[in-house]
Amino acid sequence: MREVPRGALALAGLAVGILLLAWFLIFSFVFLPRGMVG
Amino acid sequence: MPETEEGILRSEFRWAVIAVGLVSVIMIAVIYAGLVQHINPPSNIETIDPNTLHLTGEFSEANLGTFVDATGQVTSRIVATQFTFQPQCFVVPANRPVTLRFASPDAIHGILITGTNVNTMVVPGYISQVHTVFTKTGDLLMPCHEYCGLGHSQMWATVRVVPEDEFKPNAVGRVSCASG
Repeated sequence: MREVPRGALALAGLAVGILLLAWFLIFSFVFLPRGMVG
Repeated sequence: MPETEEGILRSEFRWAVIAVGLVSVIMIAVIYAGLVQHINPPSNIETIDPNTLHLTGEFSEANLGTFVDATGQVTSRIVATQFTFQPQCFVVPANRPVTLRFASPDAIHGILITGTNVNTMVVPGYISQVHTVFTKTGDLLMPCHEYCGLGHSQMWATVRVVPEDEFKPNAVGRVSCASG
């Protein structure tokens, strides 16, 4: 049972990290290249 | 892994710091896009009477479409109605600032232009205005993206982005899909 809580942080960190990376990929490769609007 | 109450609190605090940090990073990215790249949500407050906009004034039929004024400013005026855009095709130049203005006489519509960040609602009683610069030439799709009735799925227009040298206004400054 001791191992489970340690893995929780790794899992949460990995999941959030993947989502953050996906956000930045779409932001830099789709959103910014689509150019100026206002 | 912490087993004490204090240890748990410390872990939670660290995770909260990380979460706030992530949100801040995202906010900085959005502010950067707004200030440096000039990518902002369109914001315009201008009212117009939806019942008479087609009769006189800016959105009367002869005034719709793309016009270049004396200062070289390119403005496209489009009426969004159930269930068509008028005009259904309009021309814009590439690599030049363009102002798009929309009005609706009936229901709430919305437009987006594929491949660009142009995206705004068109609400009866208000004029929606978007400034942008088109970089890629070609025909872009501009569908209505706000459900406006049974014909909503058939409501779309073509945005023809032409290279600078092909963008030639006629004597009154109009450029239309029909010419050239």
